[in-house]
Amino acid sequence: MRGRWPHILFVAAISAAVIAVYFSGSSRWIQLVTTVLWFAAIGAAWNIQAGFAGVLGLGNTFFLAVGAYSSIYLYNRFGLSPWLGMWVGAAISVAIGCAVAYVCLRAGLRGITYVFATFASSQILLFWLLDQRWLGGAGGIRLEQIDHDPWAFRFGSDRAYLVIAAILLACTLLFMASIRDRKWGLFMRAVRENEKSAAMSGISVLDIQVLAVACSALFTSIAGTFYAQFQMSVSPTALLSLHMALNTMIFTVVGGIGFVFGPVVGAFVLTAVSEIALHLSGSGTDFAAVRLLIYGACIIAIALFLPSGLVSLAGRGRRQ
Amino acid sequence: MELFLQVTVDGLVMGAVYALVAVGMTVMFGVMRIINFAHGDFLMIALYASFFLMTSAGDLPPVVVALLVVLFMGLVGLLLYLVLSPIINASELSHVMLTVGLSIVLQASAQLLFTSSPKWLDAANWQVVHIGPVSLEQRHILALAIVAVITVALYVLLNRTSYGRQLRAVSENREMAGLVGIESRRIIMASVVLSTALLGVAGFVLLPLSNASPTVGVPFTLLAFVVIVIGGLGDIVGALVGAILVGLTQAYGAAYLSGNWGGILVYAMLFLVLVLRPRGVLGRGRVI
Repeated sequence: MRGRWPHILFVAAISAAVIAVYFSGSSRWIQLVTTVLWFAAIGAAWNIQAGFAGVLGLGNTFFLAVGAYSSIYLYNRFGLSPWLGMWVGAAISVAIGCAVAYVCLRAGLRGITYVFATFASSQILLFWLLDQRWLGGAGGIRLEQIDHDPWAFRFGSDRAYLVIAAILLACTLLFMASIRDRKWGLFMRAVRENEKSAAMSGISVLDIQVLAVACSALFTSIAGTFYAQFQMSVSPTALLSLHMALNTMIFTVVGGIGFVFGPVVGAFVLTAVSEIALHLSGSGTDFAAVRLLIYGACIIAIALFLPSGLVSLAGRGRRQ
Repeated sequence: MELFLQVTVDGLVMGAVYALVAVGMTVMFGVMRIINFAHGDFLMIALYASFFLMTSAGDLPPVVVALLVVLFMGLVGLLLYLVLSPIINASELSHVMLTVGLSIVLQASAQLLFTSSPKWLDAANWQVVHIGPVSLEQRHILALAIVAVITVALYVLLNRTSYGRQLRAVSENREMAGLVGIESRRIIMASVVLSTALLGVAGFVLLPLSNASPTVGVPFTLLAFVVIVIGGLGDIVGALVGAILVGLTQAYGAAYLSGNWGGILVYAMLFLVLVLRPRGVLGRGRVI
């Protein structure tokens, strides 16, 4: 199978699954799939910078936290709708993200040193937030209970969040698919493959890398706003842990870094595997530990045997 | 002034412990160019090993316990080498993924085997020693002494033995080392074993100061990142300097500002060193 068909089939299969869950009415399944779609979305946002432009940052939780905190704070303090507040958060995220990326990349940080620098930025935000009383300190901020108010980004049913998460993911993927073979996408991939030859052919490497981080920050920040509304609370330690930072990366790499659908495949497969493991393991076992064990084993297996990710199994083995 | 002295001594004690943990990570990075995201989880294994030896193996003298833990961690290091060896030449992303996977598996296994409730040694009555205005618990003095001994031993090992010279050669340039007849695979294996064996010592030293629980290693992994970057990646003396700097920064930040400011300062230091002095404070680290 070549050309468009595998992609169309894949989108159809995922959509069918989401629609089936939507009508199943089981709130556990709806919440589970919403979470999976959300993880796929933040993975896809990371994929723009890491998969397309080759900028391996581990600081995207920074944007997640900024998006979550700014919308929730603006709503609680000024009554500003999160639908507007999320753009404030996105603007802050993009501004800070560009500044940090510019400073680090210009200083020549690449690979593991860039990973450390971006992770440091997220940890500075973590410890700063822990000290800020007006942002709830270590306890974070909770949203007050409202039943149904679409303007306040609050809905009476879980289904609405499922739909919004699906739209968020679809927008991120559409954005990636649309730039992939156009000017900026091609520039990003050229920079990823070889910075020197990209620079030789007239591409401004630093600009392209910062642009990729900016796109990544935008989508991650909006996903952060969604997280705050879906969970109805934010806290520094939940959003800015090493665990969360690694999650933005893991689903993408397991699925296939650089492939548009990589994060979606990774998120669905890893969740499916751990769900099956939960059903197979007997009662009395520590579910959380079993889930972690399966996750870890899958990640090790991918790193050892299939470094290009599950999508590369589809046969063409070519990074998109 | 008294507070200042006390804080300084506390910072030095923590710095000494961080040094024990971080040196192994920087040694491994030096020869393999792999950052081990599971480093703190191997410390967790060492903590559990010391805990069970101290509590259930009767009245073993502490020295024997320490030796057994180091021996055990050396064997664990051999296993780690076997897992890592296929991807030594793979991309950095593969290194991160594999060690992250290892970290998750180790934490989950510990949770399944020992449950997630933390295990503390019975609070032994450690005597407090007063030196001038500074008071120190005996276990802190013990920790400082062990770190001093290990530092000297490491110095001798690296500078006065054939293994040390080969390790430094491989760390400098693996291909060239191969050309002059150094079997880099053996050196790498020995270095991974050295790295985890040092964690064995660290686990033994830490146990009275810390508990043993499945996720106890995570903060140590993060601190070790900071320490080895500040010291310069792969620079062993630098890691000692970095550890002291981090320990002191945390202690001063916590004493004069707040505990969270200690964290902010430490990570700000990491960021600034990376941007301004990517080869570390001593300027001898490796940059990829």
